[in-house]
Amino acid sequence: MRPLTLRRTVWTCVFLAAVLLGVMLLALRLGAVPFSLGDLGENLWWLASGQSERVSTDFRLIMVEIRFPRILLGMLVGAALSVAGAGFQALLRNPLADPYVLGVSSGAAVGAILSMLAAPTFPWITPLAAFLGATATIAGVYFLGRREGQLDSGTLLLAGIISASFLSAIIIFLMTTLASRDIRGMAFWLMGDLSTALPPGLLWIFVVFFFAAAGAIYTTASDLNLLLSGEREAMHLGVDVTRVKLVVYVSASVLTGLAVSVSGAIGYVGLLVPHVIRMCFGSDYRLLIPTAALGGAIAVVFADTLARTVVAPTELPVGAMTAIAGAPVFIYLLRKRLS
Amino acid sequence: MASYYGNGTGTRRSARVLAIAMVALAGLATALWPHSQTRQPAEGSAGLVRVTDETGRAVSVPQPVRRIVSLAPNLTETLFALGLGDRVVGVTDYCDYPPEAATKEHIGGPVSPNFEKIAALRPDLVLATRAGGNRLSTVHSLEMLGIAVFATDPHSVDEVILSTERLGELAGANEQGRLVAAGLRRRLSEVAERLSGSELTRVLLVVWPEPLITVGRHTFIADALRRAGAENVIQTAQDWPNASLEEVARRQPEYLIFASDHSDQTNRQIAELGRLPGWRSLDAMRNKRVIVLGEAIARPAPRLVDSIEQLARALHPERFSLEVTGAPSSALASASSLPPEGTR
Repeated sequence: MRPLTLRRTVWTCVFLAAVLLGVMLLALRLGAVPFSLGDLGENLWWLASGQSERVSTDFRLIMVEIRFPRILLGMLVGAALSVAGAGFQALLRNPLADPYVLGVSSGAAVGAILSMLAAPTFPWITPLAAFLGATATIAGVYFLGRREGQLDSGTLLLAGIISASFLSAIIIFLMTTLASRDIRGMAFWLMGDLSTALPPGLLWIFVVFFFAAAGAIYTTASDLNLLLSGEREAMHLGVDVTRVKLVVYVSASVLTGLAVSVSGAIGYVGLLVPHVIRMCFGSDYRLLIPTAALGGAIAVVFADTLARTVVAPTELPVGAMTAIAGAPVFIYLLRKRLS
Repeated sequence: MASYYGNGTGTRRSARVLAIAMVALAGLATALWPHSQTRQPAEGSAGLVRVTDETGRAVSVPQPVRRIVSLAPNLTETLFALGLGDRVVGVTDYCDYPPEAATKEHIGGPVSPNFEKIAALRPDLVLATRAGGNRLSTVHSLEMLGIAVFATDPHSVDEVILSTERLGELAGANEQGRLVAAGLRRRLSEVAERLSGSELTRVLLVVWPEPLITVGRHTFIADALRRAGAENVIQTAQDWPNASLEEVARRQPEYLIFASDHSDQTNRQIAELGRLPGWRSLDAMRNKRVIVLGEAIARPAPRLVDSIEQLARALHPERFSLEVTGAPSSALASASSLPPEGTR
């Protein structure tokens, strides 16, 4: 592998940012309510140049208040899942690790269901309870996954898988035994869904947490590179393995909790995007973290655009779309690399 | 390995560049993020009416209501029954009654409607229902867009009629609402009169056969069954319980009731079920005491009363024998082809 240079990092990120911008424009252009490219350009120009009074009401209502916030949310969720996936894959040294493997999504769903029972009319409570459920699960898995005071990858993975199936069973139990009708909507939420608008205040919390957690993982990038060749080797090379593991574990968990709390479980992104990025740009974590964030944003915004448009005005859950589109892409790249 | 340490300064520099890029991106997002989350009421409106909907939410509805989007088939039916069909501008993919409802703009399904489509229709009022699969988060999302959402939550036949009246008041069709409600109440008391003194027939209402889903006792459907002189053999606090076939076999309902607008298909399905172990040991199945009602029995709308009348006739034909257009002669009654009386 060529040594990583600043030049290559920046240009790769610029390239991916350009792709993201293209996908964003596509996502803005397509939707249940059509806007011509001319309309789109004109109104965007008016918005950008401060002549917002000239922007049409339809544009303001549909683009500014619905479509654009949803695209932003998709970007954040995709970036968070993808960075979390890359983090967990390094931490567990397992290529199959993804943000949901540790039972986070099921924990979030249990939190959300309980909140719907306790205070169904308060819109903020569901994402907050989901976040609490996710972090509680991850903390539980962390303590189950330790062996002799050390975080053991194999034990952690098993603890996660078992917690996930245990919590899924709890969800089914709650959904079939409780009388509240609103719980049935939860099944939809479990498939991953970006249609629910987020109160603006919560979105800003998400943004702040995302940059804090992703930044924390980025500071350990060089150490993660060494960790990939083995914990003992990394320790001999001067890496504080315990600290790195804790930082990555907590940060990746926060990222996953954020994503799950606002969108449910969108599968495949955290597993696939880091692999695709590795295949394209190499596995140096100093490049992988930022490119995975951009790649995850691209993947989710693109998948959500498809979910919004293929059977419009009916919407597919974006999780179904990421799985339909993700699996073949993954197989293709895998075969190509093998041949 | 050397390269990891070889360009340590490169790492720090690239980290700085990246940090700046991320801050710039965040700044861009801030600049573009919509700050006004509320919408002015439509032009020429004569103010707002503040009401509390059936789920206890306070709603401000712009008056007069000219454009309505319905998020469930039962609400669409109710609006048309109130003569408000021309004010309906958006319906779900499942709004199939009356047939002209399907010609309105579609906004997706009740569980995941398309917010862009709804906003583009500029509704004065969006109607949702807790009894028809709408999600609470849908209501919250529309609220955040500044769209007035009124949600109904009927648990009994009386509440279905009250909802109908209330929707009439809300949309400025008070008179029509009262008329429709009075008509429905009159028809219900007629049925009650004919059935007075007769025992409740023990039935099983099959919402879904495999796995068996039936209705709980707090649903409007359970109430409708009682009004038609029937009682579900499964009584639970849950609204859509997943019932055990063993329990059903132990209680042996006198009739099985299916709800479907495609009676041919359903009759084939029932014939299939009759061959399955468990189902074939039900007396009602063996004796072909199976009733296929239209889907209206599962919709909290004025046509619910049609279903009640149909079911009462099918279960207690002797009570309706004085009529010219008599009760179905055979026990296997396909009621779905009867004309929808009194709904328009």
